[in-house]
Amino acid sequence: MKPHLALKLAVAGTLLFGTAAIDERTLECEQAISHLRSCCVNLDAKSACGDGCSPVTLTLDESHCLQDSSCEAIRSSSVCERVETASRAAHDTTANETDAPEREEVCP
Amino acid sequence: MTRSLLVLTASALTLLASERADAYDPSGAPPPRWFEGERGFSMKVSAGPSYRRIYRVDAGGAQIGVAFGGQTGSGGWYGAIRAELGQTDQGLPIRHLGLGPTWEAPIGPWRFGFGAHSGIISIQRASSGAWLTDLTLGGHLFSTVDVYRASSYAATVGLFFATEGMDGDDPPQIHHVSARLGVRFF
Repeated sequence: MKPHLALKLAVAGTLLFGTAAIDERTLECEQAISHLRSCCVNLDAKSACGDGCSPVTLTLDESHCLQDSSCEAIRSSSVCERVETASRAAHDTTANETDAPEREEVCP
Repeated sequence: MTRSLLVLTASALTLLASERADAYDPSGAPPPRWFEGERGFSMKVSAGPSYRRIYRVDAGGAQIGVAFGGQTGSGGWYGAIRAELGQTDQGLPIRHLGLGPTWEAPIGPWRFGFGAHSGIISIQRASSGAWLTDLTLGGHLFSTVDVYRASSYAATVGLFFATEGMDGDDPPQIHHVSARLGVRFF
């Protein structure tokens, strides 16, 4: 299949099914949030991994680090609160259309 | 993984070529063609466990598949559709639907084949519960062996290897292997 034909088919499929790319950073971020949900009570991080408008908050390294961390280490280092703060900041940043704010590392 | 698929393809083609050469009759009679006595409409159903790696994320699951086509002297030609459900090692649910053409050839009770497929993969977000969805395009190799044969069907076991890209990105991001139990009707 010629590359431009594959591209046309992909575009047609995207328009037809409304798909969005699954990139590695988003997927690893969701993996990390899934792990955090088993450690943090009522974790509020809806925008942590991007929602189509806001950017993905966690870097690849942070996502891998969080997945490799025990719940004990996560809770003792206030990771849950830091991720929630970063998620809210990312959401507000997009809404205000300003540069991404600096934030502290989220992984213990 | 890509190198393994190429080696498997080369081995299968070598076996096919040697079997056809061995079947040549120097008396002048044409060599036998594939699926003698079994040609015509055929259908396959299969199911089994699957493992996939998406980027660096491991995921397990189960898949079911159905294929419609025909067995001819030039091989078995099918249109196949398969559905898979699974989850990542961190528990994100995955759905994958794929379809495409396949070709296969027999060597005794064995079948070796390959095909292309396109599909849609969805992974549920842990953050919001929404589904990430993407298009996939890839190729696959498979092999099955008949473990029981009757006059119009055969029970099979087999392996399936696939590699896929999402939205035409390079290199492919999904590698997939599954074991299959199935029935082939002919």
